[in-house]
Amino acid sequence: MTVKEGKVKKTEQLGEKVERLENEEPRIGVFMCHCGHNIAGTVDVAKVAEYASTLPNVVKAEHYMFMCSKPGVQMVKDSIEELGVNRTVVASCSKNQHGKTFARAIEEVGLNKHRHQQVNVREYDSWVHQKEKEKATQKAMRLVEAGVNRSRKLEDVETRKIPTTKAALVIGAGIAGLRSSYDLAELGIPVYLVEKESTIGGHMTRLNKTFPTLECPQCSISPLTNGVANHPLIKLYTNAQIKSVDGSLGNFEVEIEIKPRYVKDNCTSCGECAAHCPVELPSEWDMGMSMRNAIYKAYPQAIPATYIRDKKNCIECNTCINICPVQAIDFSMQPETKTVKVGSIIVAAGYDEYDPSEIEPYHYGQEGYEDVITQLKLERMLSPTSLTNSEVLRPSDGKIPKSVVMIQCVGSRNDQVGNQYCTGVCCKFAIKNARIIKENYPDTNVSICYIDIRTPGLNFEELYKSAQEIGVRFIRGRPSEIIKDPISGDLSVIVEDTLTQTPLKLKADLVVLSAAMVPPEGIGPLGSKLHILRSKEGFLKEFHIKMNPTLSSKGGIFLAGVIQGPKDISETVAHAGSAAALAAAPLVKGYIEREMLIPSIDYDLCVKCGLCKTICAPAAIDIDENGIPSVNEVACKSCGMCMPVCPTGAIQLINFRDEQLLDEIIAVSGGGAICE
Amino acid sequence: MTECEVVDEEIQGKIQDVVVFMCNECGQGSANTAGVARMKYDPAIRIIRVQCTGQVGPIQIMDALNNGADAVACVGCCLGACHFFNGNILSMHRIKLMKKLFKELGYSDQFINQYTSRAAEGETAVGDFEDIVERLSNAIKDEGTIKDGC
Amino acid sequence: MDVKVFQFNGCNKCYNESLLLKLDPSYKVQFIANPQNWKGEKTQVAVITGYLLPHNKENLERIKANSEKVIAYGNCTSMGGIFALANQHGHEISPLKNLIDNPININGCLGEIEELKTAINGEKPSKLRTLCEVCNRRATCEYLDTVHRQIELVDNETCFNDLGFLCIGFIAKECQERCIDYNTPCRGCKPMVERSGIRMLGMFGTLMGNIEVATEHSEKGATDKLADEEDDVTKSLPDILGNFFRFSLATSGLPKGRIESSGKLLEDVFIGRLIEELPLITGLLGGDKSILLTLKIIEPYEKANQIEISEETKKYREELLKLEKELQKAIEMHDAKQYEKVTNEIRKIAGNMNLSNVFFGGFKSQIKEEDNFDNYKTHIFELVEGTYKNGFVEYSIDSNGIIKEIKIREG
Repeated sequence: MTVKEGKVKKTEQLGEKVERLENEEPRIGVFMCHCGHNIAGTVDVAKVAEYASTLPNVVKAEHYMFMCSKPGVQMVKDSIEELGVNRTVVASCSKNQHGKTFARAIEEVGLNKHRHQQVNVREYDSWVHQKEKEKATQKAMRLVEAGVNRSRKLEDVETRKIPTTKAALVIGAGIAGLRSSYDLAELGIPVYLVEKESTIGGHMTRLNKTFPTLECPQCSISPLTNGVANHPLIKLYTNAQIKSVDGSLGNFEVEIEIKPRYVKDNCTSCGECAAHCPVELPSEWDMGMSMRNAIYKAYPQAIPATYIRDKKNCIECNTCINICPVQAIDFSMQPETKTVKVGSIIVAAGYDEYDPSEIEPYHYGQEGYEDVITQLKLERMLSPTSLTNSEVLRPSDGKIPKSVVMIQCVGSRNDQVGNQYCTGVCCKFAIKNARIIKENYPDTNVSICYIDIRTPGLNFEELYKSAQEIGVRFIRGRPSEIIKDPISGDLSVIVEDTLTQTPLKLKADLVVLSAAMVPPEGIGPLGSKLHILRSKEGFLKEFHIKMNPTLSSKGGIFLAGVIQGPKDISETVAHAGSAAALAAAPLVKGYIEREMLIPSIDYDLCVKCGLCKTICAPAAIDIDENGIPSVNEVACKSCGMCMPVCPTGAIQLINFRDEQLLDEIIAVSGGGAICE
Repeated sequence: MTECEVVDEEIQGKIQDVVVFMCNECGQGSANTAGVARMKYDPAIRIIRVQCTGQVGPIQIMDALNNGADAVACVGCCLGACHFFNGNILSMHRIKLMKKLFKELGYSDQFINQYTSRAAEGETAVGDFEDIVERLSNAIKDEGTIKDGC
Repeated sequence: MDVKVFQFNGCNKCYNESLLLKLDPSYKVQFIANPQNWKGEKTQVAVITGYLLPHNKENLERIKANSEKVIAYGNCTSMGGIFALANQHGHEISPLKNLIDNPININGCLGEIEELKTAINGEKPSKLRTLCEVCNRRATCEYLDTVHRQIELVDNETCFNDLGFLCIGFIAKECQERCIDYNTPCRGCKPMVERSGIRMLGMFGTLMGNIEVATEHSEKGATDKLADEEDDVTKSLPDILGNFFRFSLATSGLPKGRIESSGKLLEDVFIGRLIEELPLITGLLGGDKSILLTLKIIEPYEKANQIEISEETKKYREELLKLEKELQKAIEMHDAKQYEKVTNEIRKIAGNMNLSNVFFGGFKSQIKEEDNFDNYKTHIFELVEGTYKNGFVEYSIDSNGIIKEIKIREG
């Protein structure tokens, strides 16, 4: 490979590393395994070995009963030591099964393990063509020839130990972020926990009860919030956000921007300032169900307990500065930027509740429709810390509703408006809230309009049943409209009960919309700062939906909780714990081992189009200011997707180069070119 | 033997080498599972291991056809489940264009195909292989092999 | 130095361009327009121009046997060139390297005279930059959501490919004709890699990764597979062969086309091409009549579809036709100086000898500083199915704007 002078240093090292062994003459040893009768019963192994011995560069071709047995492995080793074999081809089972056995063996006698080529004649040939012995033998010869061709140009691949920074960054201090942070800290890993709000705990602190056991969420989460706030290894940054992220798996450098609270840490949380503040605004934390001041604490139990000043709405009357008994208030505080070095990053940015005002027929948020609320607002009303003293009251007139209608799948399962996906938790929380209302106000009619009730898992069907038994009415149908009587001002929900095919007009004193979970605001910019990819729904995309749902598209960055897709609290906690364990592994070990199976770039051919960077999912290709790409060897996942994309073929994954694949293709393609 | 069977046998005889690029994840996995379950498929199928179908470009496909393959296919993970994010989808786009190119040259577009498979289900790989062979035999029946007419 | 220039088949633009050799007194140049009748005599350098068919092999071998050095000058000779598009219909146009051993290849449409001189003198060719390096437009290569066949001429900074407008300049070397400077995407007449069309296909296919593809469920294995129906990806590139393999079909390693031939090689080159690409194609293969041919193809379409052309456009087109007459005269007289002068004049209006600046409805870039470009600027035009003809050509296009039939009057 050629490197133009004055190019990036990193790539010059790369040049040395993938140095090709063009001068060395390949000496190939071919070993054909019988696998008892598994291969030899179908394939004429002697004939294949005989054929292999006629191929160029093959210095030894043997067949043996069990190549993976001790004597078999010894045969491979001996050939290297006695005949100077420098590339080995074993034709036996799959690479997954015994490829490693032989790779390790040749490494023991001093050859790079990437010089071993495994040919799979058992799974791909003898087992699937048992009745066609002649054809299977022919095919085995082709496969072995392909293996020999491929091995001829195999390059050494170095395995490198890369030290990791023993610290982690967690973004978001909701239940997922808290769980991950605490688990990491308990493993002895220092954690920087970044939260954009002024308090930690996230959505869970807002809830009244958690399903299915109707427990108090504040009581469940407080050991964790307190534990995190007081943990010596956790550094908490509230009112802060990520400014930039650099680096890759094991070693990231992150800039955190901390916005000023305008209240110093010596605040005793006495509340004098808020009590005298003349400004009043709807509280965001309380979903607008109560008021707060321009200097405030989100809720009484908030952690950190330090007050915060809302600069935008403050009229700067200085009353609070004068009244504060400990002089904690300082309007001159400035934003701070902190740079931290971490080895792993966990993104636990949570979700936003879907804004149903998009659905025109439901009139949510419109004047005259104050009694159409979302489930989170209902939770706030029911909660013990609410302004209504846990009473359910109509926002319009403060009366207890005689009929409550809940509408499911608002923003979920809809091709036209909102989202296609099922949020998966709305059925459960709607049933829970319906039951609570019915229990508290037995005279109130509670109906749930649903498409399907989805309550899988232990205890949830029981919850559903209990709600039915207590008298909650379930109506199968998606309401078409919420209408308001122009004279009486009463709300009604128009729905067709699709089970009985009856159109219904349900009188509703209160309508509760079970709004979907949607990706949080600002996740787009955060995703691009982290160089990780998003799914089409807007959540962050996991590496593999089944086998690795916590890793993001980029190594070293993990997803915890709803940011990967809607989840309930139990799933979120489990997901967050898994993220913590995976994030901790390389940090506890202290290093990562990376095989340098990475692309090399021929800078004479590179046209600096930058497409390799565009398609690189783990963002392993950096482009400098002159447009010259270089490969980040730690971040690279060896997928080779950059190869066909390169218009000039300048970028080539080592051991999978175009000419190396061509050698293998020639052997299996059977010759006889098509006409040009 | 009926006339039809004779024709079928003749076509079968023309299918010698079908190069299948299979990704290191679901592709290889499903073929291994098929092997373990002793499923049967046409011996003309030749599997080449690649990291991801996203690695296989028109260059590799043309290399195979130029060197005598009767047909080429790529087998990757299911759509949306690529182990390297979206390699299978990118590969599918390129293969779409290759098919179009072959149509423009007056050839059947069945000589090049893209499939998916699932590692745990050998039958998905075998289903793909059978589909390749079926499509190829139909193409040969209609207009001869890719090498014909030279 | 003793140089003999041979013209084989097709357009004679490179042959004419080699007239410029006469301006250098160190060459003793002889032009042979009918190599079939050439008896053969010893020469130092043989320059071959025009496209080649298998039956030319005998002549070529004679030339090879009599000369110290054989140079394939221009794309048609060095790599099959635009005429090789007829191979889609089963013709067998081959590059010189397939017919005789080791010729020196000079790519380009037109072949560049400086490169020819370097090759004649036996000097080492100077290292060329890539076309992207000399392009004013900058690429970011984001995934595309849509692909366009025509673009409005407003953005001069964004790479054509980023605009969803196929340009294969990524694989091209810098050239003298520089279509890209005249709002015309590159079609790769000077490729820097082998099998350029196939590589670009891989690149552009990937770039289209955001566009939805049709998939279906296979019955047997129940896995997703490629559906064979048309979708946005294939629809947006109706002529892959003509756009990606415009010059390289003979060397790209693709199988010989099986589309039935219309009987005439020249017509086969046109069939299957896109209406909006026509002016450039005729500009490329019309030889010393390319201006006439191009305008004769543009005009009936403009007339039939009420594409208005301005007075300025008319004026410049007439001027071009006049210049072409002068050019023919200069060639006839073997007057190299006059040839140079006239070609420079043509370049000023048409952009280059490939007429990149000439288009339906006007011109693609400003001709003179003092002009108001808006007066003769071309715009996106609609593709209207139909037959278009005047006394000179007759062609019909389908609803996708693809040429179905074409007849060009000889002579």
